[in-house]
Amino acid sequence: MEAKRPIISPKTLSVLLSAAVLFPVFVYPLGRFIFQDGTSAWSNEGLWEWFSDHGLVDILVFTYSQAILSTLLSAGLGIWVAVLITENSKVWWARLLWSFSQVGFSLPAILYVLAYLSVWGRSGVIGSWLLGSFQEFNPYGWTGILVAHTFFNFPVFVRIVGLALLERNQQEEKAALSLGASRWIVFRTMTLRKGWAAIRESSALSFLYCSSSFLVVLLLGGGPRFTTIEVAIYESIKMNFDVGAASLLAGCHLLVFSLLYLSLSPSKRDVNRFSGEERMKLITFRPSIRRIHTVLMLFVVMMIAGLPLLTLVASILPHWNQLPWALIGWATSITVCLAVVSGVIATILSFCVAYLGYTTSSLKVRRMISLLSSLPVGISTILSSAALWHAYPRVVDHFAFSFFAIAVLQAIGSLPLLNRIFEVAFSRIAKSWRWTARSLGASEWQLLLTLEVPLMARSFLLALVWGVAFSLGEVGCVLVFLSDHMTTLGLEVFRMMGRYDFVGANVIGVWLLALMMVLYAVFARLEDEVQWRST
Amino acid sequence: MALNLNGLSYQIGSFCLTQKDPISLPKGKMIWVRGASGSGKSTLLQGLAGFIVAKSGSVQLDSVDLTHLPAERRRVALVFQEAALFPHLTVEENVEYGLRVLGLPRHDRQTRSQRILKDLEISELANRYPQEISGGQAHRVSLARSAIMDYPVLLLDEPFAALQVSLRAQLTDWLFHEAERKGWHVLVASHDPLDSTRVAHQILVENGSFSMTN
Repeated sequence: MEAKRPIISPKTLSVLLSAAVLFPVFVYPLGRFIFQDGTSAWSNEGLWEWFSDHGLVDILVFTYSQAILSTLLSAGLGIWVAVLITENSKVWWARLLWSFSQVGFSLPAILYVLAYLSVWGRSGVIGSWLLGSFQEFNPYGWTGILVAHTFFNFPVFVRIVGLALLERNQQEEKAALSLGASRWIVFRTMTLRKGWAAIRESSALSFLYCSSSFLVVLLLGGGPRFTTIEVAIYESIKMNFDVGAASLLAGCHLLVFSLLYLSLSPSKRDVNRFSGEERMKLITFRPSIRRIHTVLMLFVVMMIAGLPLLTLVASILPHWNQLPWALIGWATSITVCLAVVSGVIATILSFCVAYLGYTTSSLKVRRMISLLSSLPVGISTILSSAALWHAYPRVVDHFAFSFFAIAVLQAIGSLPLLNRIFEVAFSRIAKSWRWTARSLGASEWQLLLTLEVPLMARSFLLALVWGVAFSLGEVGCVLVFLSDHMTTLGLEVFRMMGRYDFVGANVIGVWLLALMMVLYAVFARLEDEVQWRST
Repeated sequence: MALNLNGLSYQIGSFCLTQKDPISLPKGKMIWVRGASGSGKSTLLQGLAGFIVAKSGSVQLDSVDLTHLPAERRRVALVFQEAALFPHLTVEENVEYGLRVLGLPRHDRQTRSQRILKDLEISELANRYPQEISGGQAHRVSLARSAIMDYPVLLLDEPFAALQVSLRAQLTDWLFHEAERKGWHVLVASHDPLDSTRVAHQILVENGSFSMTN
């Protein structure tokens, strides 16, 4: 008795599904936007005009210099926190910081901007005092951009470097110590070398994210001197109606992103399982210095992350009875519907892309898939939305079309993150399981449905939660597509900030934060279970 | 029915394994694939199972050429050293896995799995998950999962390496009798010697080549 031959293989279906979503919504509009709509800008005269008059060089220099500085700051804080978490993995504050690193990484930019301004802004708790004491204090510009980028990116280092340090095999280090090597030599020659791939990977991610930052720079930049490529694209389209300029900027950014990605993309890390043994101290300090060291680190994290979020929540307490429930209800229903649809699309799409990478043996093709799935890190949703809007201008005329355009674009925006969840899940499926199943007669479909999908069930839920979380606070696509009478929570915060109604913005911001917290709680539970199953 | 190997060669990276002389293995016998660690025993078994593409040569079972058939259509079962039980399925579901993908009715699957679990003295484990059983028990489950398929070729890659001597002897006996009774070709890769009374032939793998020895 032999199993029936399938009409279409899962790999072919994955290619078709991915292409059906990515090509019309992302690849074609972006390609057209850069190469067709901006033809005049790409001519010699157009390029010269841009280089000489429009300050393209200034924009490029600012974009990448702020990205380098933000990455350095995030790396400094993130590695510091990661080392202390590794050494104190059983202490409450280390667990709290570990959980927080999830929140920081994925909190909507608009929420953090609100939280930051409620502490460091001109009328913020500390900002107003600083302004009174130091006339030159300015929470916007470099200060705001760097602090906000550090907030979003240090958790990337905590997660990736921390995990590499936690999962490293310590036997070799113990062997080296027993052979007389000092702790410093062991740290320098073994620990650091093992963590290097993780540091490289997180630096690349952080740099790429900062170089395509949009909302943080738009809201905290505070002037034309602080314009990144993404902000310049938004302004070119929305204010100057200069598509050529926007396409030139997008082309430059895409080129730099691809080159950087290919040169910085991480090599495969050797992941060991949690050994459960007592963690060795990475560097030896006297207990008193160690204590000061820890308190100092907690203080910095508190100033950047904890205090702004707590202040934001506290700021709305006097206004509880004035909550605009009708507006909140309306915006919440659209936001949640959008997030769920986007989460489902993102989960299916990222699974298909990860499956393609997993089943492809050619290294070149795998690298290409990896580059494509990482493109949304370097292309903000504002750029992809602008491109889609230009390719299909009538989309905005219909609510249903706009709704699905936003949902799909947000799904594509979360692709790099979700793809990683599935990549990790696939890497946990032992080759011997696959081979055993195949030698027992399982076809590719049966392998997928009876082995791979059931083993990855939690990862599907995890991806769905992330997909929903990403969409909940996203503003870029909504800004381009949603009409005036429609709104989401993120967009409403943005609009209120534009009207300087910070009380209203804070109230809706805290409501959005509460929704995010529910998702984080689900996520933390799922992550624990995935961890348990994998060990 | 004989398993014929002719002029085979497999390449993994810079390592190449080639066949010296033609080999014809009679059915119902146990064959010991011997050689030092890293000599290429696993490569040979994985090649025969269809997981490594042969650079040259052929594998024929009776008159059927298996060389270019994908692993799932060869009817060659491979048992790994690490048992490789599917962690999300119970012992019984693991054993029934191959029958399930073939589309056998539930009742038939259960009858056959209960019989083989009883033969290997692991009936009481039927509802347990792989994490809840010992290493020795996992190996018996793994063997049952492949043997239940009743495929003409059964390949075992270091199946007894981590087992106690008594259990090893018990499983070797069981395999010997089943192979004889059902006419299987059983190839056991092991760097430890197998019971000489049970082994009909030996394939020696060394220095990147393999050949039949007596």
